Amino acid sequence: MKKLICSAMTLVIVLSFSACAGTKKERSENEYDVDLTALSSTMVYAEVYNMMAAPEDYIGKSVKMRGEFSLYQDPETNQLYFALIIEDATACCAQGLEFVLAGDYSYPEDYPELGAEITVAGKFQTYEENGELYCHLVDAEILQRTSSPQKSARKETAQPKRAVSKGTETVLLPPCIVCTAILFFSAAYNHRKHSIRPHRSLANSAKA
Amino acid sequence: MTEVFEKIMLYLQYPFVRYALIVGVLIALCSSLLGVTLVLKRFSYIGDGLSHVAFGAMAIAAVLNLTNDMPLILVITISCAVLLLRTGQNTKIKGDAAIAMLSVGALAIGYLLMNLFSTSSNLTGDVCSTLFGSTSILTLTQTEVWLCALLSCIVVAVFVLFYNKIFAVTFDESFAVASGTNAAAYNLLIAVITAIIIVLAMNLVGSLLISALVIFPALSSMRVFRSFRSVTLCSVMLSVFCALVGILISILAGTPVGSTIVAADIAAFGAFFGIGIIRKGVGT
Repeated sequence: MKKLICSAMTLVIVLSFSACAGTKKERSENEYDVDLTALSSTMVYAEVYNMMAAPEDYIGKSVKMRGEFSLYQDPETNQLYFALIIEDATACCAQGLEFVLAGDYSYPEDYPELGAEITVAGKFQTYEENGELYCHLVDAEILQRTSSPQKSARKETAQPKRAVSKGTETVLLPPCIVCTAILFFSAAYNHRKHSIRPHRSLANSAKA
Repeated sequence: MTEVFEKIMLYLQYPFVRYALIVGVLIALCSSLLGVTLVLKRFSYIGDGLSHVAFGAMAIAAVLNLTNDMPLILVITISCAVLLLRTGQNTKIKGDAAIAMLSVGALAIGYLLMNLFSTSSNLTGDVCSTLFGSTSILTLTQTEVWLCALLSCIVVAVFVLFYNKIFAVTFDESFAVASGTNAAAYNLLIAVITAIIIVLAMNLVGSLLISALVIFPALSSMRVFRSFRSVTLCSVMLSVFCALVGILISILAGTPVGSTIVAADIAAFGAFFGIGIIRKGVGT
């Protein structure tokens, strides 16, 4: 028994560590080193988190990302900071990444409206300000901007972002219903099986 | 299907995805090993209670601004596990009430501390991520991966070395005591191992969903298999499979990792339950 368990555990552990092997190759086939637009929302959040946590691994890399346009103004210096906000699957956690457009741009004429979904590409760099290390995209370019006609409606209703696309929901719904039905009927079956019922002969004799 | 496979291959090139898969497999392995023992000994709720204590400990670590919070969380959770199991039969507050008190108290105090002494810019997000494990498994550092691997190896080693004693204490504690086994010590060992697994599993599925990771594989296996050995082996393989599937589905579909893994466990339970009913029907 111990040999069997040891063998099974060793196999599982070796299989799991075999994920570490493999040469590092280009992550994407397109021109960007880090293309966040090709990833799911969970992956995007995790990747941006890792970019903030370990920026030294990403310095100088070209990054393409999509998110909500946001703006911050420092109350002391009146300096404007432009950023993209990315939310995770549950929309409760959000990461932001600042970007600096290449060339001369002025706000608000050359920038999208707040909350609009835009795609930005740039080079990842870090900088220090007031003793703190910050990350941003430099030489950035807005590749695509989508005005958000639902933005005003979204502001009023304040609905959280749906993490699962409609197609995925449609696929997941029947299995969920089937699982719930199985659990319900199994509970009913167990209840019926374990409830005490007199044998037919006993019931008949009791009636007599 | 080819598209899905290509996407998985693309995602596997990211180091944090590989770390998540490694740690996810190891945590699923450890939790399923102990899940069988906990379910049979009616200690399932201790896992739930300890997970809330771990959340409270994590809140303390966040307030203290610790870079690596795992050692502190481990110490506090193990202490509470020992405290819960040492209460015994002659205490004024019985087992389930003590678990409830500790569990709810730790959750409330933890959230209160995080609100009062918050060092994070997104408190709600941090709390949500810790409770439900939406993306915490994808944000592990290499040090945390090595620590998880080390602790998982310790848990597996303990289970393998003390398998016979754990088996005896699980099924017939009175006989184990009568035959000279120090049942109290082994119960304590089980409690400490449970605490370690809870702290590890918090990264995978969050505090609130840890019990599912421990209980569901064991319960699913018990629908089909009867012997302790086969239930344990099936539970391990099922847990690892569901963790892998859950992580892959969550990164492909953009769903929270913890909930997806638990959903996979529930689906597996449903399937095994059906198989159990069919086998019983065929048998009779």
